[in-house]
Amino acid sequence: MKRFPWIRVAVVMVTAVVILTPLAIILYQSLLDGPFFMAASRGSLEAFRFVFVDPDFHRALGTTAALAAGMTAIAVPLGSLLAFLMIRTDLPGRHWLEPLLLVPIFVSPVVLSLGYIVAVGPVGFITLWAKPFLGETPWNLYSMGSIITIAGLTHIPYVYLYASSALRSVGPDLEEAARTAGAGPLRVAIDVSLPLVRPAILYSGVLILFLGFELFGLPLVLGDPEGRLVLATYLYKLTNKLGVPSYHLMAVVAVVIIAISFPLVWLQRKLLGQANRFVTMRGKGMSERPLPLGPWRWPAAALMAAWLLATVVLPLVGITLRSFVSTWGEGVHLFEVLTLDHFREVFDDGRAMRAIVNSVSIAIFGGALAVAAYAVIGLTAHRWKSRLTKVLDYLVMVPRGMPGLIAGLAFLWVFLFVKPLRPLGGTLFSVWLAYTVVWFAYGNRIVSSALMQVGPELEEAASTVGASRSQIIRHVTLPLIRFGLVGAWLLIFAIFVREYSIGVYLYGPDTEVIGSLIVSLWGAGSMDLVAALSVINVLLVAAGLSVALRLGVRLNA
Amino acid sequence: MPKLIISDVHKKLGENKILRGVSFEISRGEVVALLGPSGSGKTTLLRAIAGLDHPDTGRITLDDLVFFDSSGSQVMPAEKRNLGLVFQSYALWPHRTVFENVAYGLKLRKVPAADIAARVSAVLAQIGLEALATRYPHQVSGGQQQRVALARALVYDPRLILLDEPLSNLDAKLREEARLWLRELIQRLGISAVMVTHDQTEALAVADRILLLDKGRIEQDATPVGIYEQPATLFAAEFMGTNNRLEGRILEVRGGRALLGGDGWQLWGQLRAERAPGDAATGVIRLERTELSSSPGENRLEARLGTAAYLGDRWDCLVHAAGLRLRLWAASAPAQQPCWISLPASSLWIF
Repeated sequence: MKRFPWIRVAVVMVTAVVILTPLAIILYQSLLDGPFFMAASRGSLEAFRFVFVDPDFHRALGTTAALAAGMTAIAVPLGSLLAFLMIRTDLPGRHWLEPLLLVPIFVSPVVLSLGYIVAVGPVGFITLWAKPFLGETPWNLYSMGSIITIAGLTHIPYVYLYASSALRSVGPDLEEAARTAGAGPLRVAIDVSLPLVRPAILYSGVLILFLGFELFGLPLVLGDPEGRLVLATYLYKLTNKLGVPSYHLMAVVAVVIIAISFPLVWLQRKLLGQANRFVTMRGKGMSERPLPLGPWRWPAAALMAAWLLATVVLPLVGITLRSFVSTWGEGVHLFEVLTLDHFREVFDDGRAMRAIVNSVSIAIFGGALAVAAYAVIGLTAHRWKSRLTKVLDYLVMVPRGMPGLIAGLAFLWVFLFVKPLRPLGGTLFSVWLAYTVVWFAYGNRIVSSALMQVGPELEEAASTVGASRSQIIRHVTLPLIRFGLVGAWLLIFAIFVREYSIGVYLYGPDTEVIGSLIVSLWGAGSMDLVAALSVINVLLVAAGLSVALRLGVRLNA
Repeated sequence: MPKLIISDVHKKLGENKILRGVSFEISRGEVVALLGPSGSGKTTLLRAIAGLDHPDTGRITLDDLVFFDSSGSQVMPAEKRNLGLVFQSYALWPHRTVFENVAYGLKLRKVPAADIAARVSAVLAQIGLEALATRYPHQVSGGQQQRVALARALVYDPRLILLDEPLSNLDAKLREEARLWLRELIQRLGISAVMVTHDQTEALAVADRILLLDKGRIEQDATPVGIYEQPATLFAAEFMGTNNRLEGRILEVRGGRALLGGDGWQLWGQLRAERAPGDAATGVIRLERTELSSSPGENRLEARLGTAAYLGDRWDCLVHAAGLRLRLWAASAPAQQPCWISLPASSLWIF
């Protein structure tokens, strides 16, 4: 006699409502001819017609496709190569390099882009320094080629994450067999290691492709000077385009983005099933033996250093330097313009201080609450033989296909549209809810990987000595995943501090966060404040991650 | 004419000395087994020959090629050594078919495609797997995978073939057949081989010569018959076969024989170590040399049956004699009580 699992069913239902409502409201709004709150709005396809004939939209779509394809073409091969070098070879410094490698994932793309402008923009530090040697401005940061290159290089860590975890599971004996058969290190990589992790690489390729379609911060900052729009920035500009709230048009663009990313998310899910196809049994008692690179060792290290320089050092040093100088331009001498004024300005500015406080509280308390929510959902699905776990599986996909910008917009509408929720609109709760939903897939993955490490026999043993389900969870499961949950909290902290796109629309007098304030201040042109806030933002992320690293949390969850 | 020469190879892993001065030579066409318990350093030694691990000091050469030499800090990378290695896990590449797995070494050696096809087919025919060439490794059985791994290591005519516990992943029944099959194949091809194993039966069956290793040193280097019938040390005597062990004291030494005695018993045996009367010593006798007797006599002890277990082809009996617990194998369970147990002096080794 089994009782009906009320709690579990309720958790699934609540999750479904919270995740699907924003999606539903976007679809609904896209089918109206005006904002949903205006009584005169009627159902029509007018909004679709308007957007689809807009030449700006077509240009944005084309740019987005080129950007997504280009960055995938750059990130996938380089990311796979990097993973091979890091995981399988005796590359110098590979033990301490890994956290550094993942930096681009944890730094807001807006901050990175601003860093690039400051370092290698038309009047950037490096540009001005290089000009006398190379003549004329040697490069154009705002060209399509530059944007694609930067997008590609900064997305290498995502490929690295998947390729490296797959490579770790390939038995070293397979590579050793190739070596004794007569293959050098490069041949081993090309003939054995990389083909074995091809499913994981393919998977990461699809991921990069849809991240490319959702790109917002990078093209917002780098595409703006030459008026280059992608779908997300086109959506963002629509807000101001007509003067009146053009919710129906924004909803249409959101639907287009979702329509592109959903099939890709689905494809990714299909690929995940195959990703473990070649995972092989390891030989007994075999320890990791890195493949000697021989003469390739130092060229490989140089390649690695160049990439780190370009994607981590250059933008971060750039933005930091900019936050400490009063002005910058041709003929300015660095030591004459050094100043702490911008940071003083931040501390005197009410809005900036509020944004910092908001960001930190959302990250600490909101992060803990979010992890608690992910844990409840994770425990609900944990060892539950029910078709409803499949439903949860599919629900996870929804937020993945919904970029932060659109999720923020959707939640803004939810809190306007659903009358009982209206008082909560414009509060930090609405921001927290949006954050929690957008990062649901990520949080869910961390929590369930912790849950998967709990051997079923440990819980079965508790059950045979007479523990009820809730006692098993409280006395066995939760204590065992405690460390995993703390790790999840720290990672979510870093991710929430970094977040900028969700707050773009949920941005109110009491709810600004650092990320969205940077976007808004950048739009208004106050570069001094932006640079100082960016540095503070990066420092907060770094603080969270260094605690995580100190505790031994793996960043590549 | 020696071929592979290993001289004074040392290897430390942290504080743990894995190899402490191993030297031996292998002649052309010889099949040598590195036999030892886990932790004896046998796998490390094999990997050092293959070039997958490097010793700290020592020298490894094959004919005129220097594989490793710590004095001149010469190290030849594994891929240049032209050896065949069969892994314990087989390490077949799961993304390649049987044919492609075997062909890979030839492809790396830039053999023309037509020749590759011919040579791979020939070697697959030799191991009886030509029909499975287009299958993937996970589509063939464990025994077949083991043969593919062997074919992959043999196809490019390596100077030497190395086998790491080649039969340990097979079922007991299959292993017995594979043992003979492997010996026949190696003999037919006339290649030199070094095989690592912890299974004495495997070493006895396949090898021409056995190097018994313990704690990073060679305990004994002998033919299978020599190592089983003339063990040089107590370790060698006890590692091979199934034995009775008797702890006692030397009472008398006469020629090559000694009288070993304990509480209520005295037995003559062959003295195989430097011992003088009064020294503590250990007697070892194989179970198959320990026999039941119906009457008393020299080197016989009066015994009482403890228990007997039926093993199908024999009975495994435990007997108590003068405070000793001894095992023996008998064709039938002893019916008579009391009985006598005979430990022939020629089969009792005293260390």
